[in-house]
Amino acid sequence: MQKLPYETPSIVKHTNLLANKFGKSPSRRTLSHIDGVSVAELMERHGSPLFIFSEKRIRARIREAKRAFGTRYPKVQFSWSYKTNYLDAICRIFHDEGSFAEVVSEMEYEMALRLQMPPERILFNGPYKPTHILKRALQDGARVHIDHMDELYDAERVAEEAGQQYEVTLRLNMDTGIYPRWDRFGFNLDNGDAMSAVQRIVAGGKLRVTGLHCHIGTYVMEPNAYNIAATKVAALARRIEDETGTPIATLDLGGGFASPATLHDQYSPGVDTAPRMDDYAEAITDALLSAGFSPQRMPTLILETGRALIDEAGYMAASVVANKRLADGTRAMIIDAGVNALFTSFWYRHNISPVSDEGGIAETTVVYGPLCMNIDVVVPAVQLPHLAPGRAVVLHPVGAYNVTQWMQFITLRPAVVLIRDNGDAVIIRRRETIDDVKAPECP
Amino acid sequence: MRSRWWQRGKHLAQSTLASYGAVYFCDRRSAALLFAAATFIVPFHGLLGLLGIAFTNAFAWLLRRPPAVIQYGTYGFNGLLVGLALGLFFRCDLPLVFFLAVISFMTVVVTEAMRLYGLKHQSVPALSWPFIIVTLTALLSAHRYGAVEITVVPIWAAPLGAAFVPHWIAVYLRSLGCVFFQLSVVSGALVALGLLIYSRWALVLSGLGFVCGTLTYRFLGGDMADITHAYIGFNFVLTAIAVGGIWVVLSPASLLFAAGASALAAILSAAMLALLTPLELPVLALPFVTATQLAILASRVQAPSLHLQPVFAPRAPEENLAEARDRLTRFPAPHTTLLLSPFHGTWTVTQGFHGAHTHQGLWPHGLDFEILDEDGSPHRGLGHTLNDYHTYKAPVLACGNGTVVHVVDHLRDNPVGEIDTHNPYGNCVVIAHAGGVYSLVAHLQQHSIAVRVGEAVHPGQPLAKVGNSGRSPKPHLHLQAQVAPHIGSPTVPFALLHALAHDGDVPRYHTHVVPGENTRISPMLPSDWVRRAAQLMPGQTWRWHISQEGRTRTEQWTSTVDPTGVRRLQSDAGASVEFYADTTHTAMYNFRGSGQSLLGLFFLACARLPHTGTDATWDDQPGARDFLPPFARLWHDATLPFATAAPIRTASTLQITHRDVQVHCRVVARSFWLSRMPDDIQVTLLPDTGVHHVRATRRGALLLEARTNP
Repeated sequence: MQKLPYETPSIVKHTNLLANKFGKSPSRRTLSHIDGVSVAELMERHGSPLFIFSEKRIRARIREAKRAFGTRYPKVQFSWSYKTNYLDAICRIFHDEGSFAEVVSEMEYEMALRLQMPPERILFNGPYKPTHILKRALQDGARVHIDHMDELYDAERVAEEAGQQYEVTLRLNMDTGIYPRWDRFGFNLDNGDAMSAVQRIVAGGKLRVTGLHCHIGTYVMEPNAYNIAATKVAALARRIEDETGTPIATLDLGGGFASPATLHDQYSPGVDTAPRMDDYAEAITDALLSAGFSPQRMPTLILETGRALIDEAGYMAASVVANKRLADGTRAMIIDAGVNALFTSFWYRHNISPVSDEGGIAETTVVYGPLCMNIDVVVPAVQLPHLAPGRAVVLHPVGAYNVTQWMQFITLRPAVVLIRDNGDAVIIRRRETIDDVKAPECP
Repeated sequence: MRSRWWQRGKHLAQSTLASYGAVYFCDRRSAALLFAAATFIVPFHGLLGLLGIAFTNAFAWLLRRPPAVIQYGTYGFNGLLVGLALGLFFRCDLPLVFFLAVISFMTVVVTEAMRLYGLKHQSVPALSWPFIIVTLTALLSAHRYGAVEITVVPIWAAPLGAAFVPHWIAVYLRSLGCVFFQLSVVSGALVALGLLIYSRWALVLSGLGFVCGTLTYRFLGGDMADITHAYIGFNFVLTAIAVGGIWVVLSPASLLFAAGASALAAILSAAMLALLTPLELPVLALPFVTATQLAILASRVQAPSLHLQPVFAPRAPEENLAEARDRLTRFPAPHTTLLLSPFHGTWTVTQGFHGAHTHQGLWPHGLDFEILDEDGSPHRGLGHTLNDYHTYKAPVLACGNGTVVHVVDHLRDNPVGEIDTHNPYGNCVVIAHAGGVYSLVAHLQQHSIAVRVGEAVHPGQPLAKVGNSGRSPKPHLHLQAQVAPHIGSPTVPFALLHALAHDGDVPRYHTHVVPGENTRISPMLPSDWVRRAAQLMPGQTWRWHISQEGRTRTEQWTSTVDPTGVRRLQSDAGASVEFYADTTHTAMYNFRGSGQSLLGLFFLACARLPHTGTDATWDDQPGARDFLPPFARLWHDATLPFATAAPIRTASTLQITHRDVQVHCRVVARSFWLSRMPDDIQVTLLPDTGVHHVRATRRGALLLEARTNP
């Protein structure tokens, strides 16, 4: 007879399955393989914790997005939001799928250039562009998105010095019926700021507005907000064309589409509540198709969605360090991946799945990271069976923002592995060493 | 002042020569000169012919007839034939000249009446009917006038040269000459030489017609003396030329057709002889015009299976054929219904023409489209609800300019797997397009239709969204063309215009295509940027600096447009090419000049140039004739009616960078004579500047590089 693993005795409140008003207890999901590659093997080879990305999932998702928009609107261009995930290997996949680069800082601009992105395929966005880099981007022919009047003055000065008229895009903000309203970026459309900026540019003659850009929020779960945004932006584009004769060639509706991750304050899981790509596509293209543009001269629709494209493709494999009971009896588990590596823990209630299920009663568990800081809560409450130290768990989805917002704090940052289309798992960022951390210091 | 008279003299000479050529449908001046020479073997015949031309053209000019028509020889050739006929049948003296002058007035008026009737009713060509009517009138009137005496003169001309060739060859040559009422073998030989220069195929057809007509005559027990002495043989000759290659495109079928028509001419000859001989009148060209007009009529109303392509603006048989070949292999056949893809993005054809499910019976010409994902699945998840389907709620667009004539909007969308056989088309929109063609899109979403009956729609305008109404178990879009506005009308064939097929790494562009089942297809999206690079604005010039084999030279191109709207690129090195350009593509055809010229290379690489906004590749078969050395051209012309494989095939790829547009063309020449042609041509175009750089290589070795002046 096979010996079962030892399980610490515990008392769990009985919840009769069907009578339980919170529904059935969650099914016990395990995640042993990603794209057919064994997680345990990967961890054995590359250590723990470990970020794992799936190229197959990235490509499937961007293709789904291209199909959703491309079968509804004639000219669609995706632009990869670098800040969401700017690992070279990841950016390359998006560029290979035809995406431009959307950068928001000098550093990201350099990153895009390093990947041989032609400047005219780089969208330079963001509220802070130091004059020297603004000048360089304009001269390179990058698509500069003007965020505020002071930047506009800077850009006009650069154009005047160069004796050249540069094409720019104007960032807009507006009320689309959702909260919070992102009015800190760009010119307000509703109060007329945007049109006055356009009039100033046209009157000055130093720049030419050829694009409009808005980005209404992040993790926006209401597609209709995009319909309102697209309607307003398209109307402004037509007005600019009518009143100033400047044709608007690109309408950039930004990003902010929800991923299937679950927010902390969300009741239902994200997989069930996040709108589908088709819903966003329908909302935006319906507005543009009925905006009255001539079919021969439809502006190009640019989309900069990041989170919705990459989140699901990223996994974090971690190991159980210890189990304990908190003073109130709640079960707690410590794993070796903390919020320094998993920044999105502050926003998301991550799914956490053991690599294998070896039985035992599932119990509400707090998952802590390894940091000696009270804030290091990876998952505040999740039903998990008992997992002995050394057992592996996978957190998912973690593809967006983690490998850019992670911190070198208390521990070193983990390695990142990419499972290629052909099933090869390659390391795309090695584990940090103490030298990486200490190199910039001047003793 | 001098130049004005010089100009008039030139026009006079041109219209006179054209009259000689027009008798054999020929516009080649050297051939026309030989025909003229043939009429002067008996000098006063030639003189009367020339007078006939002069009188008719003079009357036409006095009657203010269009100079272009005079120039073309339309009046002159009838006048010429009247003059020559009178020369043959009457003794030459002053009354005859007077008679000819007066009767020429009638020639002009009859010709003009028939020409105008033909223009108005788009009827078959009048051919030499005016000549026949006038000549028969003249001969009838001569019975009453003593001053003009009927004799067939001169006696000495007929046997001239007959001793040097076999009997039947002599009869054949005389038949050729008889077209100009010349009975001598020498005249016939001159005409044969003229035909050889003008068109080798015309000469072959003349032989074919003579043989077929004569054999028919003999087979039916006709008197061979009619052929040898009554000179009806020329009818067979002219009929075969006209029907075999002039008014019908030369092909194996047209050769058979010509043989049949000349046999018909033989029967008509016997009939006319029986009718006219008692009246002491010759049959003239009556059998020819009757047989030919019937044949032309037949070719224009034929069933398509006969493979006879009628010609409406004829030139030499070889040119007609080359043009038709170019048109049929490279461009949509005339009267093809062309529709733009009714959607955005890439869709898959899930049922093609004659499809197994529903494209049957009276409705075989339908295309069903669905959006399939990378795995070939039409849906995500389990596909149990309509919302799972990628196709569901995708916008449907108008596939051309037109007016909405039918809208059905109220039918419920079926749950997945169910069909509504009572309303097979479900919710649908029918649009009337110009030319009496209707397009129908079906299985639309309930209440999604955004247009109303009577509304004018433009290409690409959103009409509705795809639903699952009608006979549709899962969301898909059905497109068909029909010639009646009713829902359920029988379908007619159509092709998709400007589509990209996604069968390889780079989308393949088709100017027109009937996509087969499982083809992934998307509309070609024209880019203003590429259009500006490819438009070749009229009046624009390009100055080239060409380096070739270590030497440099210059060449200048000019883009022109003539009064009839034909656009041309003309090189000062003697080459020219015609082209068509609109907002979607540029297509070049009828290249003339040296294949080695820079324009020739440009033609090969950009014979077809879609203004696509995305990279695309396409195949083409630009006309190869001018790229062959002269002797190889003869062989090319001789075999063209039977050849199926084009000597030159090109595969071009268009790439767009932010600076320029690059066309990379791989040339595959399938002829030994083209072995020195470049196999790789690269052309760079810039917006507004147009073509800017050409580079040709063969097996990687640079043959030629050219740049425009900055």
